[in-house]
Amino acid sequence: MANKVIEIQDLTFSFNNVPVLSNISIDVERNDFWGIVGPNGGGKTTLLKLILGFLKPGSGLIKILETDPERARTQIGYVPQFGSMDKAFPITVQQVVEMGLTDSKNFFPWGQSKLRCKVNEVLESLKILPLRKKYFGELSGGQQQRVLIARALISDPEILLLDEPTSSIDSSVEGDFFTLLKSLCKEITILLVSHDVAFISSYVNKIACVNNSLVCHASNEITTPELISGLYKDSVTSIHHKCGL
Amino acid sequence: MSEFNLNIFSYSFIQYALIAALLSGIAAGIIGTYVVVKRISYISGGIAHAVLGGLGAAYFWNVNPLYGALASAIAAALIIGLVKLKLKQNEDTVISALWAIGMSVGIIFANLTPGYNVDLISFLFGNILMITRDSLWLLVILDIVIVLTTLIFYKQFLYVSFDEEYSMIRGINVDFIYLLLLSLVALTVVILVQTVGLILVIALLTLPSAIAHMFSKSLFRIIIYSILLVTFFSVTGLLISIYLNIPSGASIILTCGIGYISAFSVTILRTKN
Repeated sequence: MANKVIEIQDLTFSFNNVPVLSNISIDVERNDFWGIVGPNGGGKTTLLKLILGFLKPGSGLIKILETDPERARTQIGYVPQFGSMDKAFPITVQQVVEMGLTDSKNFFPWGQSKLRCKVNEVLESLKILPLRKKYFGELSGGQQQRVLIARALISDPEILLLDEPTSSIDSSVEGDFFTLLKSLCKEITILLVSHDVAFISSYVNKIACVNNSLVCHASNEITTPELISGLYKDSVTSIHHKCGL
Repeated sequence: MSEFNLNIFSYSFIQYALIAALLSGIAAGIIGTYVVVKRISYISGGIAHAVLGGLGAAYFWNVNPLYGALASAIAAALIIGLVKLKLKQNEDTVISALWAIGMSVGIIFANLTPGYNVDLISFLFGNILMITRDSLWLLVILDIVIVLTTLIFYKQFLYVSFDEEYSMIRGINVDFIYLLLLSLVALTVVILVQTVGLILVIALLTLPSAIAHMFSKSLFRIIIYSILLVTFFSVTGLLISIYLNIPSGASIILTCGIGYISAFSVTILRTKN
C-alpha cells in the first residue's frame, strides 16, 4: 500500500471569484494525525469539502488514496461540523450509525441482522451502546458527536475527517475524546479541523495552518505561548515557519 | 340526525368521496411526512399552484384535466429541483416565479376557453363530492406508485433527508433521490387537487404530518399517524360540509386547521408543565 494517503498540489479554489484557497500543497501520509487550524473563513472547511469531492478545485491536483476524490470517498469517514444537523429529525441512533455502511443499492425499510451486529460493535467501542434505540435529537451534544463518530468509523475507513468536533463537547469530556482519536490514529489517518490550536497541538503530530494559503508544522514547533497567542490574534501566517514553506 | 346518518352513505357519490378521502390520506400521509421533515413545504406550495397552468391548458385543448395536472405538476417539480441542484440559484425566487406564472397561464387559458368553467373552480377549491369512478381509479394507481416507491427507497429517502452530504459520501445518488421525492410530491398534489383543491393542498400536506411529528419521533410512526389523521380530517370535514351545506374543501381544511391548533396548544401546555 502506498504511503501517501492524500496528495494535494498547487490547489486553488475560488468562490464567486473570491479566492478562498490559493496554491495549497500538502502530503498526508498513512497514520498521520493532522490538525488543521486557522481563523474562521480561512478555508478549513472548504479544504475538507475539496478532499471529499463536494467541491471541484479551480486548478491544481487532489489525489485521495491515489485516485480522484469522488471515487475515494466511500473510504472516508466524515464527522461534520456540529449544528449542521436538524435536531428535530426523526431518526434513531441505530439508523444514523447504519447510514455509515449504506450504499446506493440499499432498498426497502427492513434491516439486516449482520448490520445490527456491526452497529453494536462500534457503539460498544465508543461506550454508547445503551443509546442505540434513542432518538438522535434526544441526546446531549457530546453523545451526538460520538454517534456521528460511530457512523464515520463503522465502514472501517482509511481516512477520518473531523470538522470542529469539540465545539459541542464540554472540556471535561474533550480530553477523553482526544485520547480516543489518539488510539484510533494507530490504524487510520486523521485530519481534524479546529480553531483551538493550543489544545490539539498536544495530541496531533502535524499541524497545517490554513488562511487562504497553507503552511505545515510539526506539532512540537507550536509550543511557546507567544506562538500560540500569535495564532489567535492575527492571521496564522504571522508565525515563524521553520519548515521552509 | 339519525335520518341523516342512515341515508347519506347509500349515495354513490358519498361512497366515492369516502374512498377518495382514504386514498388522499395514504398519499398525503406518506409524502407530507417527508415534506415536513425535509422542510420543503414552500416547494410543495409552488408545485401545487403551478398545476393550474396545466389544468387550464387541458381545458383549452379539451383533454382530461387530470392529465394536464399530472404533466404540469411533474414539470414544476423537475424545474424547481433542477434549478436547485444545477444552477444553485436562489430557489425561493424560482418557486415564487413558477407559482405565479403557473396560475397566470391557467387563468388566461380558462378565459380563452368558451363557456363557464365550473370545473376549473372546483380544482381551485376542490370538490370531493364530484369525484368520478374514473378519477378514483387514477387515484388508486397514483397511490400504488407512491407507496411502492417510498417502500423501495425508504432508507435512501431517510438518509438524504437527514444528511445529504453523508449520503453522497456513501455513494447514494442524492440528486436522483431528491428529484424522485419532488416527483412524488407532484403526484400527491394531483391527488389532493381533486379533494381539497390546489389552493388548500399545502395545508393537508403539512398540517397532519406536523401534528404527528409533535407526538412521535419515529419516521415510520409519523407516516402511519399522518395517514390516519388526513383520512380522519377529510371524512369529518366532508360530513360537516354535508350537514351544514358548506363547501367540502374548505370544511376539510378548517377541520384540519382546528386539529393542528389544538395539538399545538396541547404540546405548548405540556412543555410548560
